[in-house]
Amino acid sequence: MFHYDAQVMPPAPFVETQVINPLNGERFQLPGKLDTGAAMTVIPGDIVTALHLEQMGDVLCQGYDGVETPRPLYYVALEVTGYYIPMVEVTVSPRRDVLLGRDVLNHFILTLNGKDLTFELQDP
Amino acid sequence: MTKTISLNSLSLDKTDLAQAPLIIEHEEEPVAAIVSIEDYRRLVAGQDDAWRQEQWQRLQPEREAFRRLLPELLKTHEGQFVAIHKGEVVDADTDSRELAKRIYDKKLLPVYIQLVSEQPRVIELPSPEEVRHVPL
Repeated sequence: MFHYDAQVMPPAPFVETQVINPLNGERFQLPGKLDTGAAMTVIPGDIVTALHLEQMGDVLCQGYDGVETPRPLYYVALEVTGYYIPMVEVTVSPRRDVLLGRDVLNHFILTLNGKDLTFELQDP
Repeated sequence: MTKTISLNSLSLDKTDLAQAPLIIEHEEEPVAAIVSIEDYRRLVAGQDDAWRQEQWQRLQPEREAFRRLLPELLKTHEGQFVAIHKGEVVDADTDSRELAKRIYDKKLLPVYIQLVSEQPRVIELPSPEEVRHVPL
């Protein structure tokens, strides 16, 4: 069982996440916010530089206001609370944490207990 | 104006920092610089942008090749992801991650992976987040 991070308002579920460059194994660990609204996982832009990730495509991302913006695409491996996902398509934004979208969350059984500010993330 | 101070006498307060940039010297040689946090953020953001701009430009020939090939690809690969390398389709798959795995194995870079579709692919990222201390 994990606890919500109460440092953010309102509290939100985060898990330790490692972003890995599949080409050279370079990795970077940072918090991953669980976001069931996001169709795709998002990593911070500076991780791209730190891990020397190669852009391999682009996609239009539609924000909450319906505006579509072209964003670069990268392919990385992720380790989410010890579970290894060998290939994930991700885009970037100027943020400090990873946004774990449904492309990653759908690998798991996710149980949110907002009343208790706890959650479970299990690989069946 | 830039202020120069010795590494041996490094004892700074907020007044010194307000005069940033500060150049730190050791044995009369400049060895480091202290800049304001705003300048530091701009510097880091600039480096980040430079890397991604370079990546974006590097892919441009493959992106253009995809656009050129798209009318023909719509007849042969609609609904699939294709990988464009040196202006040609080198592989295709309905799952972009499987395709990327094979591309990494073969080290076929730079490569442009894109969905063959009449309409551009749109991904939904709708979560607004509160950002504090932003001048409006």
